[in-house]
Amino acid sequence: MHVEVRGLAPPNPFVRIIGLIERLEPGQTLTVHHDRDPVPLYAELAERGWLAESIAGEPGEVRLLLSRDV
Amino acid sequence: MATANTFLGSASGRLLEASIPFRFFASAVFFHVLAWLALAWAAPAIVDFVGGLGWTLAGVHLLTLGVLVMTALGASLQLLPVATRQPVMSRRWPYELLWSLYVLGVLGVVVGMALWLPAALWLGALSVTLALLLYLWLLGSNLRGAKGMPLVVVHGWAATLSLLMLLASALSLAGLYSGIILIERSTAIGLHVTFAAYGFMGLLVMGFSYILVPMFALAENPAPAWSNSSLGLALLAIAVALLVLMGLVPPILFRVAIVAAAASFLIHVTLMELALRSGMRRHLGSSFVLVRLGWACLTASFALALALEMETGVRHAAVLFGILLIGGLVTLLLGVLSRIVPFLAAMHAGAGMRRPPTPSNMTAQRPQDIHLYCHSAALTLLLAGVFLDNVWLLRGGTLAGSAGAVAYAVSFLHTWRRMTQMLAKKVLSVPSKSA
Repeated sequence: MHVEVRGLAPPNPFVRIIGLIERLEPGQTLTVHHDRDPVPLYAELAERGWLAESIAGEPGEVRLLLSRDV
Repeated sequence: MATANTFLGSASGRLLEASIPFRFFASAVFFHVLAWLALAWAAPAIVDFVGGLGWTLAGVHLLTLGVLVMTALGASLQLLPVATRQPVMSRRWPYELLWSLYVLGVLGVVVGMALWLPAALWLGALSVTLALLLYLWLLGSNLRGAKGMPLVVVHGWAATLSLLMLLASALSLAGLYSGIILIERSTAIGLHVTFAAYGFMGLLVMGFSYILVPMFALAENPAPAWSNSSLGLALLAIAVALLVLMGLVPPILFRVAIVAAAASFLIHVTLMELALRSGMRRHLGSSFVLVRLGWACLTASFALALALEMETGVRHAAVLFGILLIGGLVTLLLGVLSRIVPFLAAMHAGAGMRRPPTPSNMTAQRPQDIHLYCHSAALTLLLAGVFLDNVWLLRGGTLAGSAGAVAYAVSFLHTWRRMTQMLAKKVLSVPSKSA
């Protein structure tokens, strides 16, 4: 699944991403298309047992692959 | 491909080095303990407090300068660059100079007040002023380049202008005891309370709440029409209050300022409550019990402000107003701080780690709960003690506050120790990784 949060004001990207991962089935991942490094997101992901990896994206894009920490 | 927390390294442009915000938070926690101890010493004099040097005024300023402004400095220096998407300054010295000048200034001010030393008070006030002018420069530099978040940015600019008025009135009041008269005393006191509590702290707290409360509750941003209305009413209230205090409009309009400020705050609190109730996270623990208690105290402070203005004869209304206003702000900020500190600690300690620590792992819940009970008891006993003119209730309240402040310090030290241990482990692990 992908989520586009570029252009959203804080904390809406944060809220949208956490809302989505809560609804994913086991084994599903979430690719986030962001326009900035979501600094506060990582602590919240860790709290919920998720990991994030930076992956290649478009110029100016911050693209993250989120998956469950198994 | 890099892990998220390697990637967090690239976010360091918006993250200050951990020691910078944490030194402000640690100082606030230290001054919080001192404030309650000073008030415990001053307990018999609290009911009849009408201003003037002494332990009561020192205790009040340990809370306002030592806890409120200190927390606001640490939080805004760290959170504003994240909100406005601005890099933080790479050099450490402006932050270190700001902290050093400010801590020395607060000590000078409170020692001067407690021990009737006008020279110490004046020098302390000058040091605080220099520190806050440096802060204004840092804040202004960030706000000028802000990308997005206009609501937070306007709150920030209004708080910045309020801080200038606050500093002018504070210097004037401090100077009175050294024979330096800048502004007439009653006008200076009016300006000081208006711009310290409502202009600077009030607007800064409201602005940051629009990000932090939805973020912690996992809720959408409040409706802009309502948040803009709240801001507009707040600015109107402060402008009208300024005109009244400067003698440019009839004094009766001060009531308009109070009603507008109350309406602004009620809209703000309603928006925040809606965010809390609609958010995906319903259980926010003791920190948000404190936040709600702070909102309740501040709401009640408007009613007392109106009662004072209309001379309704409420018993000890001025002191009750002061407890609700300062107590409300302190309660609200301690609640937010108890949520922010473990979160920031986890962010800093987790940078570069594949599995970062969680905020809950960094939290010492039991001392936070003890603080909540003691702090709530302290506020209740203080209000009852003043209303009933009972010094034993006041002593009990200030001692409960002191116990709560110690519990809060224990909780903070637990988080700080965990963070520094993790940071130290990472430093030690670097050579072995590269070997």
